[in-house]
Amino acid sequence: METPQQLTDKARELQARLSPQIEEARRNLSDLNTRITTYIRQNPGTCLLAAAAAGFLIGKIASRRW
Amino acid sequence: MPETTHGTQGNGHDHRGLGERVGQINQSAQELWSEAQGAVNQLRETLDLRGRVDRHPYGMVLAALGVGYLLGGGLFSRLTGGLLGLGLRVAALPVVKEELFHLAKSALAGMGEGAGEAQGEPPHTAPAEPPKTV
Repeated sequence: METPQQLTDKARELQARLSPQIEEARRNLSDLNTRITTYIRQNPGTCLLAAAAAGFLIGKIASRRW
Repeated sequence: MPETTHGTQGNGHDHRGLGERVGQINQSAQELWSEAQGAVNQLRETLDLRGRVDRHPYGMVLAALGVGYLLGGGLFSRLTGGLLGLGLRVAALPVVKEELFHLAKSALAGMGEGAGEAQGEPPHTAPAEPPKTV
């Protein structure tokens, strides 16, 4: 049986081990978001056309009778 | 001979007329082109696609996806029905949660009253009216 102190220590250890990974994942996601928005802003026509084409395809597939 | 002269004059007149017509057509085409360009520019300014994409990049991409989906004929499909049902359920979730919360609250209050009555407390009822004397 573990004492509350041991449980607290374990939780702290787990937090110390996971917190850098979570921070890195957050930074990566933020970086990805920045890159995507920058790309969309730099090529609006391409992105909108590609999105419309993708939506058209999805609509075609969804409307198909199985 | 006069016929030949007339014929030559007529040909020259025709050539000049044809040239004028070509010139007119050319001018009309240029006017049409410039008007079309103006209309396109006006439409571009009205829609302001670049500005909108700058302000809401993800929203505009999703809107384009939705327009493509509608154009692809996906409006009356099972996927749309499922998505609409999911959206309705998500939208109705707070209302249902609140109703359940009120229901649980009133049930707990009722249970508290019942326990009080069982312990001998007088029930919370309206006082009896005194007997009427005629």
